[in-house]
Amino acid sequence: MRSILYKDLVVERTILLIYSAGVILFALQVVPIFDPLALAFCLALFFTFTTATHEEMNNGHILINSLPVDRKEVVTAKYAFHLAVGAGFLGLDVLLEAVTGAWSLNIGRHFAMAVLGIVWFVSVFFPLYFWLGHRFVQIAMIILFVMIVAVVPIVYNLGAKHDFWGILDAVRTLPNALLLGLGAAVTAVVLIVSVFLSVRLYERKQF
Amino acid sequence: MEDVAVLDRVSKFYKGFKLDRISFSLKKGFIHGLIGRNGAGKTTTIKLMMDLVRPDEGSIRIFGLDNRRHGKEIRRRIGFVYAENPFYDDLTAENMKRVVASFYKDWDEGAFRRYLKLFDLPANKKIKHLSKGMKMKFSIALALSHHADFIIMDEPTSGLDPVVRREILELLSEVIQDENKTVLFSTHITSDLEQVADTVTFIHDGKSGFRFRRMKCWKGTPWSRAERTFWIRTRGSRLSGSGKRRSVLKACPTIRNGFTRCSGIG
Repeated sequence: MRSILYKDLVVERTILLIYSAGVILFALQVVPIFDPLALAFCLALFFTFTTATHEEMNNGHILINSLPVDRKEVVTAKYAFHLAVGAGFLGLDVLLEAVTGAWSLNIGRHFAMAVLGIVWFVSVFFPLYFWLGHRFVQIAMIILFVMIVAVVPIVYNLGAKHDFWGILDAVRTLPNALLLGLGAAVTAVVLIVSVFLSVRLYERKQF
Repeated sequence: MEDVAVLDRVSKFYKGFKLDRISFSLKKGFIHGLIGRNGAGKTTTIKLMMDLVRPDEGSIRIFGLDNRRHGKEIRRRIGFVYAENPFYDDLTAENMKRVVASFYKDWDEGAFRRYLKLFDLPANKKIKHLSKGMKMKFSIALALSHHADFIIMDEPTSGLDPVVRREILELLSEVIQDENKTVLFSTHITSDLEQVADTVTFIHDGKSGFRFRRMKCWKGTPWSRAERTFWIRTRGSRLSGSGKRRSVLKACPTIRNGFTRCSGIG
């Protein structure tokens, strides 16, 4: 698995650097933005889409499956790599916000929720990608882009106008540890099921 | 004599094409050719052997192991060369080598450097900036640099100029001097096979047709009844140290003639 992770790192190095530069620019407010952590989260999602497209364009599946690896390792390495990169983007943002003193009191909670969000995204993305293939990536990327650019701001503004219908207040009343513990437990189960499903789907794939 | 690969009634069905109960075996220490016109099923056969596609029927054993159950172990001993470039275009040859080398415990950096020099390949050039011939040579250099016992090549000479083709074929002849190594290469260019192949398996419309052997037979190991053997023109032979093999000289049709006779393709 180490070799697969090394391969991903070398192959996606340029994209990784470009996205990291984006995280840094937003975190340092060189490009002023409302919530840099949210943007780092979005970049982590787009990174997964971009690398999937890159793999497809380069026949990456044929190469990796001709090397001495089994398919289970390929899938688990994919999860590990994308979770690490996602957590890395968020961590980089938090670190830079700490350095510049721009972070809010709730940054720890936001960071934890963003990490859980990435785990959820990866857990949904990979089984669908291994099942539906490259076409899914193209369509889903457009949908995600439209959601982030058009739908999310509208829903957010609507929510803010109505004080998020009391949902946020209800969540805030819960103790941090309980909320995150529960969230982490559910997310861990979803991740395990997702990995299992992805392995089964990938083992059936033909190239 | 040891079989490196055995395909037993392997079938694969696609819409509009089927590979129909292909059976053949590949003996250790020889260059085996797989010939057939475009779309005959050569690439599918190779992909089946590499476990990139799964057979609908039949079994494939490589190094005596089931290729699905022991894929990782088998691929460690295989050097592969595909007709289409499987490498990342944005990487330099050097970085691509680093990636591939990290998967093999017995990667031989010295051998790789020798092949780079032999092929005059620039290590710092991106894959996308290499010509088709250079990409193929690079692919061959990678395949030969981890002491693979079995080299599988899908159309390694297709689309290349005669000089590069000759270089590649000469290299294959050198590789096979080590009797532990076996080469399988597919092509639709009959003259390539005439130059180097010891045996030729002919695939036509998804069926394994006839089998040619060149210049040699082995005492006590007659050809199977299923195979029809055509002796092809004499070119000298390699004798093993064991002395069990003996060469047989016999005037016979060329591969081109056999190909024409089998397929009806003139």
